[in-house]
Amino acid sequence: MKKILNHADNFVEDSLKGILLAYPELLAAHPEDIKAVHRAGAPIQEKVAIVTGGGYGHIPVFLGYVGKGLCDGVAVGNVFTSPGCETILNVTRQVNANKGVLYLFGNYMGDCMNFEMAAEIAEMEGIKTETVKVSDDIASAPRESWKERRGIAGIFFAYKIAGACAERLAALEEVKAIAEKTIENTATFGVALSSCWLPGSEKKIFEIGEDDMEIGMGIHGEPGVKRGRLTSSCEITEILLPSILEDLSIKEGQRVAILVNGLGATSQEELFILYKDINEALAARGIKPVRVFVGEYATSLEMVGASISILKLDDELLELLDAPAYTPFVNVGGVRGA
Amino acid sequence: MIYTLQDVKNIINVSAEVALSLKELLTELDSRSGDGDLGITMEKSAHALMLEICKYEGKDIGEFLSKSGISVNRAAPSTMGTLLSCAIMELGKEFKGSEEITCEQLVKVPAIIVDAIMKRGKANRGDKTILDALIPLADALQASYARDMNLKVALKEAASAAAKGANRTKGMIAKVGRAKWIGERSRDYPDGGAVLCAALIENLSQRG
Repeated sequence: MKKILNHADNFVEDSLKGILLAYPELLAAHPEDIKAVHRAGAPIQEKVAIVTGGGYGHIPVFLGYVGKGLCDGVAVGNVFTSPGCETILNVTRQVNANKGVLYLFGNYMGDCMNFEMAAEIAEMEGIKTETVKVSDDIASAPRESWKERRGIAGIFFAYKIAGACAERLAALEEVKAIAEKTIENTATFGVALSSCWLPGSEKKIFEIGEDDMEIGMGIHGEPGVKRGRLTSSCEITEILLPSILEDLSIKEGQRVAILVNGLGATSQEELFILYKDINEALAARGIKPVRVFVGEYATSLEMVGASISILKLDDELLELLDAPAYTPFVNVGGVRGA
Repeated sequence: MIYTLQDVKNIINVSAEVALSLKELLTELDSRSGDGDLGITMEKSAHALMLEICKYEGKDIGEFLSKSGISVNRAAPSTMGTLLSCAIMELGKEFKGSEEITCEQLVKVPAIIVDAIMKRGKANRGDKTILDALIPLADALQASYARDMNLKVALKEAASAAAKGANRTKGMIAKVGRAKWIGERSRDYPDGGAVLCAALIENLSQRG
């Protein structure tokens, strides 16, 4: 695999340096720990701080969601590996404004344990934390045990809504509750068409035939639910969409937000073909996509493929989804209209 | 028999060497069901431990272990690295301020590690994890030592219990971690963590 880099061992650090140099007015890092990144203005007084984190290689997840209306800080790990507990603590101390800190991250074991350790130490230092894990991938567990699912692109909705709530200076419990509500009402399902390569590794993270796709594959190449021939966008829609609608018990007339996410190497043009088919399939079922996001919101290096996430909306969630948010990577909400 | 910091360092050093020698096997086993990073995790952890062995100049076994645990977490915060660092930090708490430990204390070490891993990893016996080798190991070590007061014999029995436990993970369905998501398909291979655990105790038992 051809990659632009200097040395694979410095992949994360060099990339982080580039981001910090590009956006000095928006992002800053801990002086001794470049993997502890926060909003340039942190701590933001009177506000609950949201800290996220996880392995590198999924941009804009996780770092790209640090900014106004979203998260306050991020602990960056190595490629596809949890950040260490020390980095999480470095961020936590930096963003803490004594209104509490919400840990919001994807449900992977390494991340869960490191955030848990950090929370225990933060508590000893007098910093109150709460934890919400994002678990939206319907391929990884059935609805009745949705909290065991792994977290993928649906984390976008959790960041957006919890971030908007925190920006309005809501209390920690309130921010936590809205994050949980969002995740419970979010479901994601995707397909992978080809693998990605870890920097410095000769091998792809998984093998897949030229003409095949894997349904439900995780963003680190975790096996999905089924492998089959690559079909059309229409057929992919008819595989993914009904399962998501059923998972969320979405009935005719329901308002939903749709996220069509590219995994890193699928063109935006293709993503919009997929959205056209999703839109038609939703219309045929009488379901209303009132907010639509199409693009790269959670990637897996240069993996080819896409996922569809749906958030079941009510007035409260829609209002928070529409609130402004701005980071170097994600600019959504705010003023709507042509 | 009394163990000093140097003995503890020796035990960790030889264990780190065993872990390094198993890198490829662990990567292979973990690729079958997890994300394949167990070999590299153990390599990073082993290097961090070896560095800490050289760096630490005090005499406090607890302090040395606490520092070692933090180093492992910094070097390898993946699932197994984090569990390992938690276990070492827990031992650090246990031996805080001690310059020596007794045989009685030593045989309880695996049980302390079991508790730390269960608490942090929220796993139990039968979930197809390192615990399936480590729990029988800890039980056998303590029971044998309580009976015969012979550490050499106790280590041999513990190694045998760990090997059996690790073997039994073949055929189990994973209930925690990434392997859980593939369910039935995790059955064909033993758990990498359990295999590692059995290899480590086997090495220690041979050295006596």
